[in-house]
Amino acid sequence: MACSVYIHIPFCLKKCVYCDFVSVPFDGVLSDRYLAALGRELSLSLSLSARGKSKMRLKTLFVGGGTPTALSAWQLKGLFDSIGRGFDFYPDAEVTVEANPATLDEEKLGVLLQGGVNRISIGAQSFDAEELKLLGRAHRPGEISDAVELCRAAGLENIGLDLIYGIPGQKMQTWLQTLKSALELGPRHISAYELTVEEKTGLWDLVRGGALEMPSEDDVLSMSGAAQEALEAAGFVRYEVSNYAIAGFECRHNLNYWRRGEYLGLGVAAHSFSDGRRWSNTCSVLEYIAAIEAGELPVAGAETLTKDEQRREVFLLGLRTGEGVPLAADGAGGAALERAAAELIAEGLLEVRRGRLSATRRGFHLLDSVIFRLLAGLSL
Amino acid sequence: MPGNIRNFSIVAHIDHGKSTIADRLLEFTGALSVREMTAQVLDSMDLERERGITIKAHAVRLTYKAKDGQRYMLNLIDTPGHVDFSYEVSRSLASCEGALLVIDATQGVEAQTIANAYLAIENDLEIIPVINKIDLPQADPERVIAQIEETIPIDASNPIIASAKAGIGIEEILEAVVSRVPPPKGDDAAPLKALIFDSWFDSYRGVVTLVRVFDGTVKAGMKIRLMSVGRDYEVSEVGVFTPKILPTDSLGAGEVGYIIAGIKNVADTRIGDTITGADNPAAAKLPGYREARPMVYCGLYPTEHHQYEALKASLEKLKLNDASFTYEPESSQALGFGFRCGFLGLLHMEIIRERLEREFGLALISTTPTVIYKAIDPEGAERLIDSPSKWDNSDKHVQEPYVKAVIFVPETYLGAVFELCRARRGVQKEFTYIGKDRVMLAYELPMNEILWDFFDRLKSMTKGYASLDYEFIGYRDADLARVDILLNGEPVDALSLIVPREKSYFLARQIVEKLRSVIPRHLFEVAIQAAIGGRIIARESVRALRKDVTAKCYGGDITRKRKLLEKQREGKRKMKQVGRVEVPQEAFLAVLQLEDK
Repeated sequence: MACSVYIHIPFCLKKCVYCDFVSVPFDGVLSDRYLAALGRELSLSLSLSARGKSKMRLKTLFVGGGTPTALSAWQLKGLFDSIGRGFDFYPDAEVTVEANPATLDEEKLGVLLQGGVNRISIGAQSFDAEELKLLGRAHRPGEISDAVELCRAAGLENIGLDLIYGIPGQKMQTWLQTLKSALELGPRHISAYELTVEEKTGLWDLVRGGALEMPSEDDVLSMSGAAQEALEAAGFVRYEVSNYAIAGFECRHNLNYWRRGEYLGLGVAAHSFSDGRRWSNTCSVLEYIAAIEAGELPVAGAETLTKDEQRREVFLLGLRTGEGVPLAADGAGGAALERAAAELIAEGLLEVRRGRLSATRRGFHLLDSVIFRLLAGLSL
Repeated sequence: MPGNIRNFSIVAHIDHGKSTIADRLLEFTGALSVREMTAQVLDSMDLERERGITIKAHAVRLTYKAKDGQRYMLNLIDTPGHVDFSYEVSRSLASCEGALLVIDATQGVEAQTIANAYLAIENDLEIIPVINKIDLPQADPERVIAQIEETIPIDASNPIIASAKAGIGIEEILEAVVSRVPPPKGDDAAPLKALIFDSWFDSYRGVVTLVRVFDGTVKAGMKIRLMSVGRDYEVSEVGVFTPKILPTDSLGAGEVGYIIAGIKNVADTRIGDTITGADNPAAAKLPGYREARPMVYCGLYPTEHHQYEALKASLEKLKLNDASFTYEPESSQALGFGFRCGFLGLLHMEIIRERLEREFGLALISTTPTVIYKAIDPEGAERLIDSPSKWDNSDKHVQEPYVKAVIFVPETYLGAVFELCRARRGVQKEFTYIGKDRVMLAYELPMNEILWDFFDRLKSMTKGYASLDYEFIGYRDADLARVDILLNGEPVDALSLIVPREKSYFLARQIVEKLRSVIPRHLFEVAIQAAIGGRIIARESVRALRKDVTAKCYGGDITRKRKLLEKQREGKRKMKQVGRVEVPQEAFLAVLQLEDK
């Protein structure tokens, strides 16, 4: 049974130029209807999971978006009331909310803490005003530290910052400055994502049209290396391709994805995994609401994994993490896995430590090719 | 009855409406009800319909009650529509007394119009010009008539004005066939002489042979002899297509139909061969037979070697139905075990390859197509070179095949065509104005220059207005060299090419550049070199891949990530591992995308 829940809030003040997540501009009426639907989906899912009246006990809850904090304090209260009706938490549960700097205030924070939130992930992205503008972010650099201070003042210490590198026009110097500014705020967790140009985004059009030029591969690699150096020097550990944390502050909710733990997703476009089956909700907010209001689950796609697909996932996900996969991950002893990995180990892309297979620093840069070759070696 | 038989075919430049006219004739004579008509009934193979051309010949018997009150038996023989199959066309035409020469009223005379018209003239046919697509606003029949008279030595004063699409002129066509095409001559009582103009393998009936009976009669139970092969068979069934298969008692002189005689191998029923009676054989064969010889060769290899046996079995099956292509085992250091295959031309090659992939589900690598070169030793003995691997740098005297190409082009594009032909080592032989703004050019060109993307180039530089037809004219001395390609220092035999020495540096440079753009980046640098006889003449390199990682993987959408991996894997399946380098199919055909200047 899943002990992890993800809840998607698809509203943002404005859409960022690079974003390909499901989000729509915040609208008071629509968001009210959406939250009502979300509450119904929650109870519907719980009743279907034959839990009846007993609550589902969670180890992690992640409220992501969109921008959950685009909701009003009142709406957030309603949301966490619904959550409280459906779930209760293990004593050490991790309860995260994603927030954007310009959308946080004391009142909302109060509601979140009241609702059990003990971790906040702030979409800082950059401390350079020009870069933030180019990315289409709604906030200014100064608002990031304001947001962090607000959290601290409210008693929330487990703070994560999301950063982006590889922005068109970005210089190593501004990236180093962003890393420095971020570290100065004393977060426990930093995600450093390389900017990816996704199809059907504004950025895609701008790059394709030649209006923006993505930085060179060499520049991006240097920035990635600089991030690792700066963050490790500050005591962070790279525990996933793009994620760094002070020991003990890794995001357990995300680790659960990479370890192929089960989870339940609620809300538009949310994904779930249970009993070897993966399914996802519709990506349309209106369809989602309509389905729920008609008393149906808004499931748009589902698949039951074959044995081979499951095996592929073990590596696809597990090798993204610093801990890697146990040598026995693909069956007894791990001799076959070690044989398949031998060449990649010899090339310095994978390594074996304490009975686990994991990517080296260089291997992380080339992880997709590495996984591909490893799977080919396992005839997967 | 022969007095009421008319045997005719329809010839046309591609897209001038041949198949649509055939459909209308079937519909008008009631051979098929409107309900049964699917568009272009005669093009039965999927590939034929998709490409809009006829590959196999067909023969349909139509019954037509003419205005003179008599009933006529009209045998419509549909001909292949591509220069690769011109021998088959000529045999189909040899089976007729008349031909409809269909010309698009908006396009006018094109290269294949002329080529087909001359084939018809050589076979002594009555030619009835049909000006089609008259319903289109740009139709200009007067101009087309003038063009016919300028280019083809036939009487074009009385053409039929038609629109197959709009159903105009169909009855006039049928009346003209009756009144202008002469009835066949022939003697039912003479020894049997029947011309094979097509055959195919039917898994229930064995080989079905289409014939035109010139003399004598053929019926079930009779012993027949295929004269060129010298084999005897017993006829189990004769009949006609209406277009549904319809067995008949016999086929007499002048008639067209099919023979089934327990023949297992389509290669025995050679197009152009004569069938006679085994007990009372004819003294001589019908004229015009020759063996269809492949003109173009390429290597076909499975991308995954475990498909070798499947490829072999598939080739055997295809060969059952197509005697004109050949294959023999070949091995390549780079590609492993595969087959050297010979084809009538490039289209034929593409069709076979596509059928192998589509109908048999194979993933194939094909190597650059090549013509057959000849090496002649001092004693005059000839050695055929159908693969770069058979090239020997010490050969002093080498010859390559030439074609005569006829090109029709609007005057505006003459400059571009001159340049293309010059770059392709062409020598101009004719230059004739057709009307005031179009020109008919004739060039002699090395055949390999036509293989490498000539037609597409010609089409694109003339905005699609140029038309082309060509025929093989013989071998000529040549100064050639083999360019070898090395990846990370290892020669890749399957990428070797035979090129004219004068262009070798220029081509080698382009090939390595092209390869650099199609070979994916690896975790190591890939050096690409071109060499003649061990001397490096061009080099490029594919930079090592330094970064390849999905930045974001959260929010639980694992399915998408896994699908991406599976897509990538599918792409890999289409590549060939040469040493440590993954080489995509495009690389083996890189030479087809080179620039001329």
